[in-house]
Amino acid sequence: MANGTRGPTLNDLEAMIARAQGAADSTSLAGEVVNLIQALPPEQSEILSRPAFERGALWTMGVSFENVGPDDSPPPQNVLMPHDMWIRGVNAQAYWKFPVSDANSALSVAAVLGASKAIQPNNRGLFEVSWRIDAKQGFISSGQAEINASAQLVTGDGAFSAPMDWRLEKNQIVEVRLQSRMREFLPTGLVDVTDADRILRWVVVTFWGEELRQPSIQ
Amino acid sequence: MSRDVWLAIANEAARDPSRSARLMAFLGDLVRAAQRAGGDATPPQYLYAAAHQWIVRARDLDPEPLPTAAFPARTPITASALDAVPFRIPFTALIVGVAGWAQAKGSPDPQGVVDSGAQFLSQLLPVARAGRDLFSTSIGLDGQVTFGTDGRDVRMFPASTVVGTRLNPRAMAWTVRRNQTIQVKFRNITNVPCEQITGLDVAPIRLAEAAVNFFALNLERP
Repeated sequence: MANGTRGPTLNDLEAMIARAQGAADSTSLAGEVVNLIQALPPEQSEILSRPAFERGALWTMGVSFENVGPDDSPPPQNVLMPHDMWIRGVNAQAYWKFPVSDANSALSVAAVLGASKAIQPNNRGLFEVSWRIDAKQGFISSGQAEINASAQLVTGDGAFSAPMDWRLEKNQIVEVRLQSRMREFLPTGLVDVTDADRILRWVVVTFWGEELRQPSIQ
Repeated sequence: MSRDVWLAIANEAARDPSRSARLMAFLGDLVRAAQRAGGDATPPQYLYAAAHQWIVRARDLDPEPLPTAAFPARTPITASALDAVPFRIPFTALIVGVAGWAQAKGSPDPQGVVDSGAQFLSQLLPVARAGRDLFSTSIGLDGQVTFGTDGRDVRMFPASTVVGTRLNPRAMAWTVRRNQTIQVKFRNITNVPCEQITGLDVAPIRLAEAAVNFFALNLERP
């Protein structure tokens, strides 16, 4: 992962001023203070008048899994960074294919699914995910090993986007792995339920990002 | 303005060794005061007090058939055969947030009857806030770039993973210029969980409305 440089903050400035005050030759450090002030990020009010906000382009970069069975290990899906990107958040949504053939029967299924606080919103309790960068660095682990974790734990639902702060370079790859949890929702042994009823029709994981350089458009 | 004052003081401190320590102490007080006041920024709410709400919407949107083993050539689930809905930017603006919303309804069958099961199901179907999982969307600009992608191709994703809600809009800082065009694509995806429900082939669950709302600040002189 690229190490993006974060600009100085007011805390950095305060620390530098304190150093300058304590130094025998505070004049030499005053030049550093001038540089720090000039390198501070713009005031928020200034953003309003900037003709082109350099991180203005908002991207939704995602992966899509279809027809995932309860015991499947679908191949990882990749997101290729189209630019140098700052990944700010991650969100997910799943769709279960209702195992019924008429609308009236689907009512009870939909009601049960919708009422499950462990699963809602976005059906994120129905699957687990993990992600790594360039097939090397994994980020979700038990401490000893990389693991998949419930999407309820590690992703947001769009209204709340799980915050991230990754600086990635163009052509780096985020690899997303998925594992169904349908067997926990519909346990083995349920009467009249087969694995065909435990299929996740569509699962999407999206990363919200901004271009780190001046956008190619605008 | 405070930055200019800070710079003037720091420059003076660098220029005059006899006053440097005292000026640094004064500068330290100013920066600490700015920190206590919540930084030197305008209140965060101000950025979100967008006066303009630009709504792009599609009404009476029927689902598009999904690809199956028997019909693999149908439009993929991450795309749509429908054209994007255009929105011409009326003035240069800063878009600070975007939200989505949709509402489903049962549609009448060829005899003009709305099945009550389908109607109730349409109300129970959303599992995302504001019904955003009922449609997929992608947002583009000037026909040149679409911001939904897997890095290789344009992709539409459920609106629940692309936009926020009115209560919690997806934060943006996107400067758009007068006469640029935002394009929003919509696809009704209520048939994704209902693929096996045969009655809905005749009278699908229709989206009464799917909408995307951009919160915008006028950067031109009002």
